Amino acid sequence: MKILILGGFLGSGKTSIVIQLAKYIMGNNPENTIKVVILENEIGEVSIDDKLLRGNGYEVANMFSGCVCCTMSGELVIGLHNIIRDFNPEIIIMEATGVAYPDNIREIIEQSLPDADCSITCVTDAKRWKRLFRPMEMLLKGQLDAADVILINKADLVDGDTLEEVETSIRTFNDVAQFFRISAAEPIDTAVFDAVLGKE
Amino acid sequence: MKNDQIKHHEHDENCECGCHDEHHDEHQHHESEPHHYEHQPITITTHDMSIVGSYTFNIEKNYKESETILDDLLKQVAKEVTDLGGIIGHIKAFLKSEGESCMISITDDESNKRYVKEARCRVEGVAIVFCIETVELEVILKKAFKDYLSE
Repeated sequence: MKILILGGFLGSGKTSIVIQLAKYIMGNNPENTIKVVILENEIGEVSIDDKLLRGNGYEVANMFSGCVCCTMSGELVIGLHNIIRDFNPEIIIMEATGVAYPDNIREIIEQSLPDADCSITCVTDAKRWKRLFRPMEMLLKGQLDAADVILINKADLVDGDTLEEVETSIRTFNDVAQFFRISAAEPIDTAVFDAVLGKE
Repeated sequence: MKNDQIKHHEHDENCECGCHDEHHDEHQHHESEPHHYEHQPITITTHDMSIVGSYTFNIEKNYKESETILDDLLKQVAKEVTDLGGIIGHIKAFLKSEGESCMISITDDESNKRYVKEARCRVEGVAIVFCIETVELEVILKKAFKDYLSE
C-alpha cells in the first residue's frame, strides 16, 4: 500500500492538487472508487476541504481540530488502521495541514505501518514565496527538507525571473527532490503525478 | 488538539445544534475522544506560531447574495489582519445553501406540491494567521461577522 503525504504551507494549493491526483489515479472507472482514500487533516475546528473533496465524489476520511504531525499523532495511527480495515485501499492520499511537518507524519506512519510505501510531496506557492520566506522560514524549511517531490504551484502567476528566484531559494532547503513547476488551476501534466506516485 | 478545548453538551434528537446530521460520520478522530464540541460561533486556538480562528454562522439571504456578502466579509478580515502587520496563512469558508424544499401532499390519487425557496446559507470557515495576537484575531472576526452571529 502506498501512502502519499501531501504537505506544504497554507494556501499553496494542496487540495486542488489532491483533486487532480485522485482523478488521475482512478481514471474514468467509477468502480475504482475504493482504490484510493483521501485522508484530510485540517487544523480548524470546522472542516472545509473535505466538503470540497466529497463534492468531487471521492472517498474521504477527515481529521480536524489539530495536526496529525504532533497533537493528533495517535488519532492518525487509529485513523489509518480504520481506513485499511474498512476500505483496504491501494493508495492513501494524506493531505496534511498547512502547518504540518510531513517528515513527522512519515515517521509516525512508518512506526505503525512498517510495510507501507510512504512518500512526501511538498507544494509551494510561487506567488507568495518571497513574501513568506523570511517570516515563515523555519516552518517552510521543515516542510521541504524531507520532500521527495516538490511542486512549485501557481507558476503561471509570476514571471520567469521570479520563478527562477523562487526555485533557487527553495533549493537551498532541498536540492535532492524532484522539482516541477505547475499551475493547479490548469490540468497538471501526468508526468508530475507519475513522479508523485513514484513511478519510473 | 488540547484536551481543555474539548467541551461537551448533552443533546437528543430534538436538539437544534445541528451536529447530528453534520458531524457524526465525519469525526474520525472522535472514535478515541470525547464526542462533541460546544458549538461556539467563533473559537480561537493556537498551534505553534499559527492562530486559528474557526467560525460558523448563517446568512439569511439567498445563495447568490450570500456569496457576495461572504466574499466581502473574508476580504475585510484579510485586510484587517494585514493592516495589523499579520501574515495570512489561509482564510477560507464553505458556503452552503439550504436551497429549495418541497411539501408533497396526497389526499386522493393526485399529489399537491408546494415549493419553498430557502433564503438561508450556512457558513463554516477558518482563518489561520500569524504574527498577530489571538485576541486581535478574535476582535477582527467578531467585528466582521457581527451582523450574522446572532442569526
